[in-house]
Amino acid sequence: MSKEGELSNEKWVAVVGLRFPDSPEGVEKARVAEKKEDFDAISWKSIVKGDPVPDYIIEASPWLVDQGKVEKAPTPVRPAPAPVSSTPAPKKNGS
Amino acid sequence: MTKYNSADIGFLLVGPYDVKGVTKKLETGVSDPVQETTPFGTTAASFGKPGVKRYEITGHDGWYDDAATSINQAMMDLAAGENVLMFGYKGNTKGLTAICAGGALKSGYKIGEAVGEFHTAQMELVLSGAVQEAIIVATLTSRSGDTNTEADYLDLGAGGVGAAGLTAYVACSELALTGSTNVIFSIEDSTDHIAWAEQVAMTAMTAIGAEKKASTDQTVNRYLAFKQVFTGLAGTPTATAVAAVKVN
Repeated sequence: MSKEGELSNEKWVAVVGLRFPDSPEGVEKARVAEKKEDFDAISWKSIVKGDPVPDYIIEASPWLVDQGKVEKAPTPVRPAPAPVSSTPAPKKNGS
Repeated sequence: MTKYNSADIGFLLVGPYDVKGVTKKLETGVSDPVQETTPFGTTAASFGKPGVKRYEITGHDGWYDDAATSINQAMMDLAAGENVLMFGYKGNTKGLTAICAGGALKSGYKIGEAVGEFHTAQMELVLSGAVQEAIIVATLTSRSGDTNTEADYLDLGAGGVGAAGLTAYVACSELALTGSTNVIFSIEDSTDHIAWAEQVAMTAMTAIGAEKKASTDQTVNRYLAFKQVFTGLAGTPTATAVAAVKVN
């Protein structure tokens, strides 16, 4: 089973506060960063519990899934159609 | 092996009060008392350990100081309940261990006066619960605004990680909210220093004196960082805080 393939088809939300580079390019910089200056040069993003987590972070740091730091986003529920009434609407007074 | 001396001591925080600058002597210790269990019919005494360890900070001696953040204020205003104690006896350096306790109770305070001598002050503390040697994640220093130490993370090394959580200690000796609502301190961890996740977040603080000890039971990853976030950020708030963790 390809975990990466599986992950890429999911939408994820944060279970705890998370911080990560705000772009895939930043991820690559963080991956090889060694000095404080290297990290300071990256633009970071903070999110809180319930915020969506971008796919590129899930792919770069799958441990977030393994350790339950993110969870699958709830599937939006389509609103039920309004009931069709066979009874005609009452006439307004005076009409 | 590294030897340390009094000049290495980085901080001695009792609650929010750093009394390092007015302290000249202190002893920390732990005893594991034994109890005689010699029964009738034996010719040699026997002993057993009931298993209740007693952690102690004793023999404090120092100088009286009435500064708002010093020992007199500490002994007068320290919360009556349990307080966090953090003792950087090796230094105020990331990666060094500090003696940390969550249950410091003030039990006595003496002021001494003598001809030709500076007034002295001795605090007496009782430690409820355990004392831990925790690793300093973030040094005691003033930090401004929303910030973190991710760029200067603590690397526990491959052998430092744990699956059974950690205990975190945070003490804040100075706090200027400058109109912000409160400050929230937290410990983050990461396996790759790409993504950081909150390991434990402390309760929001609106004033010093609410120092925290908090525990988690989650996996602790190799890289650790400290984060401070001001709710309703206004002006240029600052916090002087130190954070240390003990991996279970």
